[in-house]
Amino acid sequence: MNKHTSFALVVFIFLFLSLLVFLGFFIISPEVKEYRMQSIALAQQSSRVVQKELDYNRAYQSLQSLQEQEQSFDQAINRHFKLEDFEAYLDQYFLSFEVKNITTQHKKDLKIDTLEIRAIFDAPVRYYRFIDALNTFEWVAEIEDPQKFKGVAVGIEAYFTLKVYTRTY
Amino acid sequence: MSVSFIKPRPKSIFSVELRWFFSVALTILTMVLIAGYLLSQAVDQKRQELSALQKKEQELTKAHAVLLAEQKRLQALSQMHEEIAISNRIKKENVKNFFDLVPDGIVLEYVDLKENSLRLKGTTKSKRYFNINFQRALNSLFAKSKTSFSKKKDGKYRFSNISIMEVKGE
Repeated sequence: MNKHTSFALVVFIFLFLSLLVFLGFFIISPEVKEYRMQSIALAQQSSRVVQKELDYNRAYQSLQSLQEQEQSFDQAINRHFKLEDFEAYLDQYFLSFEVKNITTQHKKDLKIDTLEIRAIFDAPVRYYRFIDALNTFEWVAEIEDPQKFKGVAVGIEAYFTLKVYTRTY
Repeated sequence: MSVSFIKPRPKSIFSVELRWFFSVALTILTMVLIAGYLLSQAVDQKRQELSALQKKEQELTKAHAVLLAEQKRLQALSQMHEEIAISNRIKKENVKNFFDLVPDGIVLEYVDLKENSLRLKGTTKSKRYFNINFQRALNSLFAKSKTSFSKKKDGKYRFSNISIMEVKGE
């Protein structure tokens, strides 16, 4: 190897090492840095998603139990109110009845039908059963004060107000 | 004159050492570039995974919000259900307790049961019987209870009672 060749070799080695440092600094190093950042972000995102999934599952279970619990009430409040069906229902508890002064009002997403009822029953226990049955009624109904009772020949005549709640869309 | 027995060969401008060096350098350079490419691919994959996870998080957040809204609606419904059921039960208990309170010697003709008051009309065999067996009970249940009597032809008494419950703040 002559003197010129050795010099060229040294120059090439220097240039090559410079190129390697350049490539390492401008290509490999940023990529490695980016890779690490992405890995950290991915791990954080992954733990966030796991937490969200847990929260979602918890909320879903809670919702399911609530849905099971309120299924009948939910159906009742979404049921369209029909006076004929309601009268058939009253017929089971009272000797005779009269439904009058039906007024309807809307409150938020609820339709409230107010019914004034005059009914005759033979014994107070019939009236108690009727109120008990209201809580498992096909519609959502609430009895309102005043409740008036009057002794009549065949039993007791009651006057009361009933509010029937129906959900509107 | 000296004579060479080997055939003359063209001389390369690169020596053997230089060629070796170039080969090694080229290999190293190629490896560096391949490593760079692979790293870039890995970063892209991580980005895609991150993007997919972010999308999943957004979907979960949206679905969770829908669940929470439904839960809120059902909770409101549940509260309404409870309030109505309790209200109906209280009304029934009030009527039942009142009717259970009425002694045998008193015949009620009219009862007006309101949240804070009670109006009664009926007959009793005597004022004393009414006061002992019914008025005391009414006095214990209501803040004010007032009864007026009128004598009937058959000797019995017709009574009219107004009882008022004490209302908070009054």
